Amino acid sequence: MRNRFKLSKTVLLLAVALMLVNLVSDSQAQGPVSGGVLRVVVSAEPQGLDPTTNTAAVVDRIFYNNTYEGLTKLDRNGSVVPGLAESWTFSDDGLNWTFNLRQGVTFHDGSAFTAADVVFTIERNQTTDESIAIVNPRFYEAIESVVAADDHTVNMTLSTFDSSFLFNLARGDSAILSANYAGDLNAAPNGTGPFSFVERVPASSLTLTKNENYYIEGLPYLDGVVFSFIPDPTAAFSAIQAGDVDVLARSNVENAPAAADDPNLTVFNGASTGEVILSMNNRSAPFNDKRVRQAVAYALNRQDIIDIAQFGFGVPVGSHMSPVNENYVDTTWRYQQDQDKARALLAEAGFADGLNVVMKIPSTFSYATSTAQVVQQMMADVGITAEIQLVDFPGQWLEEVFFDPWDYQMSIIAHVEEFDIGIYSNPNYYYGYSSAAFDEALARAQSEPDPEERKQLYAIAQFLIAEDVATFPMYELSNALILRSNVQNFWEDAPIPAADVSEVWINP
Amino acid sequence: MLSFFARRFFSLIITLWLVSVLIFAVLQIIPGDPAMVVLGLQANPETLAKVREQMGLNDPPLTRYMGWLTGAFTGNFGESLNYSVPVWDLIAQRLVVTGPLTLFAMTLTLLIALPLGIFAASKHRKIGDYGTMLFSQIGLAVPTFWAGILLMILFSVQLHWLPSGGFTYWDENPIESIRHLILPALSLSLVQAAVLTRMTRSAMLEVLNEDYITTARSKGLVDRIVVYKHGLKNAFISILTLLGLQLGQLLAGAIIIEFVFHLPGMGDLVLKSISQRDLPVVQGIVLFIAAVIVIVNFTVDLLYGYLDPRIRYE
Repeated sequence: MRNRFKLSKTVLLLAVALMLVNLVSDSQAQGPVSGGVLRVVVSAEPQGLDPTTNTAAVVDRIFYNNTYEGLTKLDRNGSVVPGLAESWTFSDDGLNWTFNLRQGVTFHDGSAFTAADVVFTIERNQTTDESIAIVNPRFYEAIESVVAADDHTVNMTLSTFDSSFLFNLARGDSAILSANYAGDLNAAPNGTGPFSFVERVPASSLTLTKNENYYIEGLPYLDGVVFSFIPDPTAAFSAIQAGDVDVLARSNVENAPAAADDPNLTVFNGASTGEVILSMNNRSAPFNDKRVRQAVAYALNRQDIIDIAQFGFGVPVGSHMSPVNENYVDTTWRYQQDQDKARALLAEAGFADGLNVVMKIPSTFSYATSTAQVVQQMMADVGITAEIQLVDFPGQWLEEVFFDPWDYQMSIIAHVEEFDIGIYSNPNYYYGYSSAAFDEALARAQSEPDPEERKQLYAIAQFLIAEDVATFPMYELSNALILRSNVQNFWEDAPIPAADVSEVWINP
Repeated sequence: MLSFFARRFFSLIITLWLVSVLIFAVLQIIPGDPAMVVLGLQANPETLAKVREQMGLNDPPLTRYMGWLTGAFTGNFGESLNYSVPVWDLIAQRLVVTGPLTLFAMTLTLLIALPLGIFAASKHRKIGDYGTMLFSQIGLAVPTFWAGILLMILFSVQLHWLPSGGFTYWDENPIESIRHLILPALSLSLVQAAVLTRMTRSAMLEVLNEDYITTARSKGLVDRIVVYKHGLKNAFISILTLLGLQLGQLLAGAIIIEFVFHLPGMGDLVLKSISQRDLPVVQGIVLFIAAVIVIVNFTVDLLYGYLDPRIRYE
């Protein structure tokens, strides 16, 4: 009896001690830990590293908020927040803006960040110089003048009110560059962000290191980041399972179910900005007939496509806008699968005996090939026989589908650029869509200062695309991010195609 | 001997020139150009024209080919469109991975195949022979990339003995470099070893039935000397021919296996460069690989002369 008491007392003491140890380690686990190098896998490598003259998404995934920063930036919720501009004011008509810049900020090459750098950057993005090929000059068209009032104040004047002005300044394209930098931006980036560029091993990896002079005290937590370029999803997944890498940024969903079963891995099924679009060439038969496009829309079932082709990862979308965008409205209700209606519309358009089409599918993307097969089957059920032609991306796809003379009938690809509904007002885009009503709604939305009014105008624009079946947006790609479980505070959603690791830490 | 050498050397030059024409023509025909790749989905005709001009893609193909060819003759393979560095630098950087990988795989192939082949031949129609043939049958049937994935799952993901891919450069830690090459080299060598084992076995069987072997045996020579000195040296002509061809297959196999193990070698670079339409890099690497294969076969031809003096005069 006595012995037993003794024993239970010891057990009790041990239990208390264990609990204390647990408490201590728990509290350690909750706070950020400094140190460590994060190893991130991205599937595609940027060609040049200049964020203004190269494909935005691929460059942003490495440098956005890590190496480069804009006057404004997007946070993890997709909201526009202050970046290198601490605050700003604007006139009642929204045409005159004053930005107050952060002080005490230096570029990685040691030079001080001043208003002159902002003027240089904006003017460079508007340049007509033949030697600089800016990818998206349209984001800066509305800026009439940009002037340095003093070292830390910039005034900008717009020709028309542009509701996406602050958003555009937050894009990767608007990264603030140093006016005095002599190096080659394509080979050696120079920004103000929490990580500076160290080196790139061509077609293999790219290394960033902690910016010890970063202006936010205590950040970043990591000592550095290594991005590896591994296009093969199987190889990438083996690497993270073996513990050789920490994060698969923009992984393919086929690995997500296996990752969910692995106790060392965490899966984020977050939102992205990648609308998977079934495009139909509006310029030529048969898809210049709205009824044929509607028949396609009635033939398909978005949720089934997601379940079969994407293991249930993804969110149905009815128009060309990501659910993480504040202007998003649901338009999926406009066309619900109805095979009888699809057949009737086909018959009305003169294809009662069936219709043969060709889909040019980029073989590089597994979501595209798997989705194409499901779409092919669903269309076959209403009498549309589709032949799938695999083309390689980017070379062949761009030349055959994307560029004049747009030699294609149907295709599938994810449009990953954030807030890119404006492409539907470009009559030379590969969709070949042209609608005066849409153009007007979009133009009014862009010049509408009142957020509620604006949201309604964007809703109209989204609905018009859906109604006309300009394209058939199917679903928003899941972010399907796979990480080692000790990686903390990574962005769960991707409101911009970026891997912002400024506040990420690794638990030891 | 000299005319033999000159004839072989001439055919080497012609082969390389044909390869250069072929690779240039093929890369002209495939759709898509590097300017499009840089700009992607955001490309518009004006920016595209600017980038094309910057990359020198507006010159006529013949001008570009001649420029490239004359450069290549002086050892200048041009500059990468993506990385703006000389193509030769990229190749040199990759060679420190692919070179050792190929040699490693070649060594493993020899180490596995020669003893097994000789063993099978000496145990002709016995259990050891059948066992060896079963092994080589399996080796032939398993594709390289699949072998690579299986080895990776076992040794990296399950046992954590070896890295799942990537590479540590030699100047950082040579032991790590070797560890990174073990699985890729093993996957590459399995198929080649299977082929070579069969070849060694049949070549040995043929030679061991020759009269001079019977003579050697009847002279009372020990079996080891009969097999290795008289047998193997004569069987080596056909083995050597196969080895020369296998080096080409190893280099080709390296493209796949480097992709599977994301090793930063030449195969990995050529795949990525094709998808990004970095034409000078693709041309440079393909020409380089072709040159290696042609030179190896040229060397093999010369070695025939050493192994069998009759060949020179034919």
